Amino acid sequence: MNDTQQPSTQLFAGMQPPGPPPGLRPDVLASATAALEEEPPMDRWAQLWHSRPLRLAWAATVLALVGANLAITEAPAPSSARAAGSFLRSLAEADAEVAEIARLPRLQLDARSLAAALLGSPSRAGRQATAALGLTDHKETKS
Amino acid sequence: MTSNAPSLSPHRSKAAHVILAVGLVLILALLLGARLYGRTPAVPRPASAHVPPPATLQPGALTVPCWACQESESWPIRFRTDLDLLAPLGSGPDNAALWFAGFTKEIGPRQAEWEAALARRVEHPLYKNVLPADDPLLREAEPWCDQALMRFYPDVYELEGYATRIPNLLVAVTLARSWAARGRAAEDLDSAMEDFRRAIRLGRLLRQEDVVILSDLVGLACIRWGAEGIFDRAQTAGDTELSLIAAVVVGEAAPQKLLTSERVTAVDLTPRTRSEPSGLRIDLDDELLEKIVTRATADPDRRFRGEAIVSLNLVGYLATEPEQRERALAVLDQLSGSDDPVVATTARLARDMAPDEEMLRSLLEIT
Repeated sequence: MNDTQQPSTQLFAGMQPPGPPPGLRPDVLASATAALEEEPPMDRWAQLWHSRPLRLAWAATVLALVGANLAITEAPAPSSARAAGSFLRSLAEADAEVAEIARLPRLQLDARSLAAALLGSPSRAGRQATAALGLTDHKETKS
Repeated sequence: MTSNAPSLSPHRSKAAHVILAVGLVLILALLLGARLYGRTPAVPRPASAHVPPPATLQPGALTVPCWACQESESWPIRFRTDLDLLAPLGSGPDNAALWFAGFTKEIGPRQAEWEAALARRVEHPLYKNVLPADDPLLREAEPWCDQALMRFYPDVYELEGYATRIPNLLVAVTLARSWAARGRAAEDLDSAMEDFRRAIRLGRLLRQEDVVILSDLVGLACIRWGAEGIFDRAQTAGDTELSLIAAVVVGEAAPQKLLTSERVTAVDLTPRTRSEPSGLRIDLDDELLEKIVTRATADPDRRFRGEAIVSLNLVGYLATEPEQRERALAVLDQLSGSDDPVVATTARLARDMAPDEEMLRSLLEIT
């Protein structure tokens, strides 16, 4: 048994496992090198950052907002209005239509009508003139 | 391998870049929104308002005030008839003066619009120049006349003595005339009455503040135009009660204007002002000075107090008698402590501010 049964190592002593293909090593090394040199896949933020349409949209929005902010001018507040002229001058320069409405007749406070003066007159001539104008009643005239 | 590691980090840091970019847009947008929100609009809009119907006339409640009687001398120059019987004020909470401020001469931001409106006016046989019935300015002004308040001082203009501004009253005149004209042309009675009542409400608002005589007189005219319109239309429609109320109101207008004239004339210093080499001088007797003092301190109408305060200013600086100057300035000093802020400010300015003689010469036509 021992003579017929030889150890397997002896049986396959002359056999060697096949080696890798001769070009495998450089191919693998080249692929690995290329893989390492490639950019890693972009995440969502990077995709947003690098998106050309988004960049254009962002730039247009910023420009529009800056323009709108610059274009807004404050309307003059009426409450801050300051006088340049004068109150009396404003009255004097009031439009003719307003002046016509607001024109006040200058009254003479000391003025007395002729009839009023006659009524107050103690003289007979005055009373007669008053009666002639019909400014007193008949009874008073008779007296 | 270590030399390749840094190449991964730029992609991860783009989050900060994107957030910054979005943040910039947000900041600009918020800034724009805040500026738009806080911006004073060129054309203010009033709050919505309710205008109540005219009050009901109670039997025996209508009287004809005797403006020619002696008792009227103590009356304030106001309508004695309750104008709520014709046109109650609206309930709007906004200050209607803010709208009129836009058309202030020289400084109003809407002067160009006003000039354009003036060019749109058409001739009217009764009211001279009116805006067309469908004019946009009439529509814009209507809700402002439904407000309950019109106050210019100090909300719109500051009291600055002789430099105090007044509103562009031609705006109010044109609006009231246009509404009165449109009311007369309206076929529908309700529409006509609405326009007449709007003119009356504008007049009431103009008289409400009681600071400037000119504004008061324009307000008086607006009320008269509206009341005359109501009288005519109510009479035609057979509404005797309404036409009677309107007639009494119309009848009160002329006496008020005449008494205004009387009160102004009574303290008028023009005839007593003369020119001397040293400047303008005023000669007045003590009786007139006391009349002016009484007007300034006790008149029931604030506008006449203001007029008398201006007279005291002239006396205080230009009277020939030193005692009269002292008296006038002492009264102004006393009035500067008034509870009424308008009276107090006017008196303080009159006490401290010498009149501009050049301006006075021009006004009084003194060479």
